[in-house]
Amino acid sequence: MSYFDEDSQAMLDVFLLETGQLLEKLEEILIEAEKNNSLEGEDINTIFRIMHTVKSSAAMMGLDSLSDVAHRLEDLFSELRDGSGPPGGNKRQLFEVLFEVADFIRDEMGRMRDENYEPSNMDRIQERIADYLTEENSGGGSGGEQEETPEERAFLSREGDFLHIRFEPGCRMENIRAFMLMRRLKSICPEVETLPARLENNPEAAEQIKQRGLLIRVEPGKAKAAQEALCGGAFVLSCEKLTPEWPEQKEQGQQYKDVPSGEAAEGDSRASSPPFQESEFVDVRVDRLDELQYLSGELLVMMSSFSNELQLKGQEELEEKYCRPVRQYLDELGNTVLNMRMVPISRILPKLRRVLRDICRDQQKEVELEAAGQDTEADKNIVDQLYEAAMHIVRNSVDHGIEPPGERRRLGKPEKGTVQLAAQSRGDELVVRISDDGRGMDIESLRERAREKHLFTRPEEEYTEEEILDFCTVPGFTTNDEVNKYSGRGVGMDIVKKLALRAGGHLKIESAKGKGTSVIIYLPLTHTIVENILFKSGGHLFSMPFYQAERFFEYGEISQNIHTDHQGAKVLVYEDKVVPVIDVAKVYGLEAESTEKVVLYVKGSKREACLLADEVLGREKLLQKLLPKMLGAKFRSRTGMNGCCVMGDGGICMALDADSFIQCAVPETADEEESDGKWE
Amino acid sequence: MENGNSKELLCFAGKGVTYAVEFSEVIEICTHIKAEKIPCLPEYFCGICHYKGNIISIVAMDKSGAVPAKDTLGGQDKGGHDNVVIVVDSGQYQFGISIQGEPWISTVDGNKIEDIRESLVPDKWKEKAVYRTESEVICQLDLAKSSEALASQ
Repeated sequence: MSYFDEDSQAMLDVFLLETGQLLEKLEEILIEAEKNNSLEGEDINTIFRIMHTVKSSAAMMGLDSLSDVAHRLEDLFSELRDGSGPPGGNKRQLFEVLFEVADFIRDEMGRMRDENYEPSNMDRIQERIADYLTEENSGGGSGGEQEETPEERAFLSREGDFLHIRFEPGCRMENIRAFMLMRRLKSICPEVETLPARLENNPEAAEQIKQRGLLIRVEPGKAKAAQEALCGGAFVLSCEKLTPEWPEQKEQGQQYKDVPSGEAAEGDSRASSPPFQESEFVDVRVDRLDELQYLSGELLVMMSSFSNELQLKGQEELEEKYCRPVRQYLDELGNTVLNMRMVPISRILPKLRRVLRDICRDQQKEVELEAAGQDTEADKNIVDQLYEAAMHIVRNSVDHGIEPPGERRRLGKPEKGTVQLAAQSRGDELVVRISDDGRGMDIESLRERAREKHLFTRPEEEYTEEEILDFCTVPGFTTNDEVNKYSGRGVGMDIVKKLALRAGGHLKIESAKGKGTSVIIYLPLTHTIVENILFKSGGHLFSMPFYQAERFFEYGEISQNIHTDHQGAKVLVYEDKVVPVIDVAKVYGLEAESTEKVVLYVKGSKREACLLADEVLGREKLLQKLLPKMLGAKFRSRTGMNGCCVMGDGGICMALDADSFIQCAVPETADEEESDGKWE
Repeated sequence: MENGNSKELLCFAGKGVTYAVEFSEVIEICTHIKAEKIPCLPEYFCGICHYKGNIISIVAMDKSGAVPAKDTLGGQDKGGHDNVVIVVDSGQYQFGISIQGEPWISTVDGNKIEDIRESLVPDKWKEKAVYRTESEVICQLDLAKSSEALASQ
């Protein structure tokens, strides 16, 4: 029984999607902040908002412990934002905690679809946060809510709108900075006033602003414009509009509450007009896009067949008048769907930076990830697979390629290594080169290892350097004698190659000893992945969409239900239905490899049948491709093959569609349509 | 380089004749193409392969003569060399031509044979021009027309 009730279950997908995106954003900020050893300004606000959203949505899902964890961090960032929280002397510790929390939440999310999901005990992560806060606060003390001073209360009781500005800690000369901001603001709000006043010549103003922030009063209705003008100001950590907690008490000038600049507040432009991305974008499930793409492809194929039929029947005029424009629309539809699936390569960079960070910390190395062409777009599935491949390559680069800082110094290289990811599109192909400036590969060592593993299948001297380097992609091939958590088992590059092949691409390795290694991955820009059942018949591999394969049996299990009808054809009587039994090998004139047949019960949108195959190999997500145009439009209807699937090893199997195949093997006649499948 | 009437063609051996295609139609000369045989293909198709993100068909010049034996496609010929596939673009179709041995470049100039009484190409194939050089007769294939004919099964 699922942990989530029916309502929560319905929201689970959206929760996972949104929280996943928030965690990605969090890590993106943390990676950059950790690199600069600085966490300030808008980043603090953003993390605060992320935690706030995670807290709320987790609570809505009934994930109270997770909500509590997010709440603790929301509090922490609220304090940091107000400048009253932990002094942040040990930012490294803070980053560690945040990365741990992000990992923890991600792991938790990874299990939420499990039928037996139960929330993990979050005490450990709660303790981790508490320890950090205790440690930090023991040095600086917690700020907490600040009470308004009488002076502030008097200031806030005046007519107008109010803003509260905090400057970044340690920016110094707060009064001068405030003065400069007010000069800028005067052109928009001529009657602007501040507390403290007389910023330019008040010696205590700097300290006052540092402690309490700067209060600004502007004319009624001008808060929005003022906030926009101030938000981008130099060293401005936050600029918040103050609204009365109880609107009816505003007259008494009591209890104003900060409204973060990015959050909804009545009368605030950011509330009335949502952020650009929210109004212009909508999250769509990928499987719905897959379906849309499939349907548009089917329509195109059907249109093509229809057009051919018209031509064959001498109806060129009709074909010209109707089919051509429809084909154009369908082409446009197909292109639109393809474009909808396109995402920039840049989306994998934060995750890659995280991978790099972790391995660098483990291995005491310093490596920078540089990117070029990150705006290049490709199908979401391709980009996801690129990430998987790039992750292994980056790990390999750090583990095998890039030397420790001391060694790099001795070699005259910068202590900090570099991994470069450069992407570009060439025609329909995405080319991604991932290079490092490490020690490169030793061709002789590779040769030696290849000899040990008997990988040379022709005279060794005939092998080019590219072929020798390609041995790195052989499963189990490694020159690293030590196994660690990242490499040494010779699986990394093997997986990279498989991923590239599975995605319909290929890869190439270049390396120069002492200078570095490049892995170049060539991938198609677009493709469709379909879940299939794979089976073998007459020595050939076939696939069929998994949703069309109802079940399969050993022939012996149901042989007693197989009969011969009045025309001599085999039929299966199963669950009150009579369905044709089709030997796939016979249909294609192939020699069956096995007498021990497997019976695959398949169901199309129109008909059902049992396919006799030699072996069912299992269920697999495969890259589906169109048949070569050159095979002609009729090939599909003649054979029931509606495409090809690219296998993990780069091989191809023919993709069958249940309806087309059944129709091709057992053509339905008008009589049969009406006969309700009677048999003798 | 084309110069006046002279131009370079990519040539390959056929049965008793040399076939050629224009370089502008050649995408790549591949030596490691892994072709898959699939059921129900007409005999002049050797199979299909996955080439740079697309599935393309591979054709042979005829079923017995100018082509590599189908059984060795994707493997090696008797001399131990990888079979070669020339991937071409006819304008309408992208496909591979499986050849025996390695292709070479020949320069043809004004030595075009105008009076061709008998076709030098197998059924379904169309020739664009026939040239005589000092050492060989070169039959340049009309890929656009040939591919259309091959596709109209």
